[in-house]
Amino acid sequence: MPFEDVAIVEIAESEKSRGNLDRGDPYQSLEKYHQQMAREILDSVELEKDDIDGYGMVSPGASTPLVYPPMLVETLGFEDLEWLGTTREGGASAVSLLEKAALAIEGGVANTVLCTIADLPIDPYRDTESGYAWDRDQRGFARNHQLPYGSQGPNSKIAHATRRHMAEFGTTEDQLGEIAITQRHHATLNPLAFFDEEIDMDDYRSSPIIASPHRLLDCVMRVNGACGFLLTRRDLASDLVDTPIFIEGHGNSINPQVTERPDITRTGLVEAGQDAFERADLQPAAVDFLQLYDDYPIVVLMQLEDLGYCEKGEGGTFVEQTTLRYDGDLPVNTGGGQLSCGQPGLASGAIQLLEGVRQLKQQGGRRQVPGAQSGVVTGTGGIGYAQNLQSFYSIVLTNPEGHNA
Amino acid sequence: MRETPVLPKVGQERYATPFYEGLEEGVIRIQECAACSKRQHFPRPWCQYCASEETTWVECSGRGVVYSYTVPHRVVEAQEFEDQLPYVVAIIELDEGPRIISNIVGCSVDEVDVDMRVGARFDGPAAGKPLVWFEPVAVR
Repeated sequence: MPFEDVAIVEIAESEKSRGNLDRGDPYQSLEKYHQQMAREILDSVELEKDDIDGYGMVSPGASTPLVYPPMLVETLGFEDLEWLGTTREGGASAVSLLEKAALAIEGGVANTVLCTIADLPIDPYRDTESGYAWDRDQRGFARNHQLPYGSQGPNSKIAHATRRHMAEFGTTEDQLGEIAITQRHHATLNPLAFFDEEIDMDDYRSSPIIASPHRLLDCVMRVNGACGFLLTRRDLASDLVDTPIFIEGHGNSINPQVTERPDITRTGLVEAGQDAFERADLQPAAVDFLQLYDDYPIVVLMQLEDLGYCEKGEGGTFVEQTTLRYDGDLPVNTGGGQLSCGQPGLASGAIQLLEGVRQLKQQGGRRQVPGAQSGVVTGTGGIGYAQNLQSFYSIVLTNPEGHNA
Repeated sequence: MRETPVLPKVGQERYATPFYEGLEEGVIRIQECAACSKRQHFPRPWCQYCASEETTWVECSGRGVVYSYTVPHRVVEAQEFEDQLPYVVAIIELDEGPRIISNIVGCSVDEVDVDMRVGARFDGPAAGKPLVWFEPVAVR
């Protein structure tokens, strides 16, 4: 199996900020965020900077110089690394990076790989006329076949999937609201979540339309922030932590639908999720939680269908009938997800990954899934032309109790 | 839509020239692979299905149905469209096969629905430009 000699040993996550200096919001540069994650992880496992021989990061949405990964390595002072990895797949970047870092260890290229992911969607020092946080695509189908028709970012692009799912299957606003409300409840139990107030269905139904049918409470809010994780060889892991976490199975699908009429209600997890469960030798019903990439409630709902928890089109009924709370039938996004933690730019997918690791380490605090031993983490990202997302990653994580020897 | 705030960069992808010229002339052209007969949109340098570079261009009727749509109420990325709010961004499924992203005009935003029949229009603010819009048409 591709990752059997690897363990995730530690994680770190920063506070989230809206980066408004006038309001006194906390501000850190990208480099400081990376250093903060490195510092917290190294201190926690009592390693020195020079014990790291591999480093991974995600190409941020914030504008960076052409050869930024080595620049960051130089700024942080990691010397003579054997491996440097970067991913650039939108929200899928974090899980994609995890897999690639794990492959570096599995393949014997590096022993101990530190990954830090940071982004500044709101950069008060950014020099642009437009004020966009991120450089707009200057070429390709995004520039020439979406922008001239006023496509307004992911809010309007994924709205196409929501609308189609409603039209084709009768999925309702209230059913999608259940996802947003449950995740917000989880966030009230998560000190690292940006939002800390409960919402109810009245709040959800009355929040303003952003791009129909998406309302404000359907849309993630961009925040500045950072995440980090440390991987090492499985035989070195127990020297560092009591509870190493294992990648028991994986399934990936990048660009799942090459066809004249792709189904916008279907994700790459139909194939990738099945692969992950098979490789982990676990049935969907047997895992203890799901940390599902959640830029919008419809994306969570489609993943529930495509991972096999219900038939395609029945996701709405499923979420009505299934308690998604951390102490319920099927815990989903137990930390609040990005919908309630905030979306820290291209570090977004790490929100799900870190919460999965945290739960397996029994560090979920007031939202701990009782006796969690295994869980699924997904990363999805990039938006296609008249499609939903482009890259799909799913991994099954276990702790030693849940690990199949 | 009352204006065309952003136009495609037509010179950037030479293999797509027949598509853009078609829009300026008032016709939607779609790539059809000479090797495998499949059609694709947006234009690509080869067939996304079989990798053949032998593509022909099909001239479409302009007719199709709304596969999905959204009505933006706020500008987030394309600030140039602020004065056009609200408007409709739709995925239109052309009768000839592939889907195309465009705007629905000629009706109020509330009148648009999934499965609505539409037809291309090349008059108005988009006339002579490398853009196409769609309007509702009566079902025959």
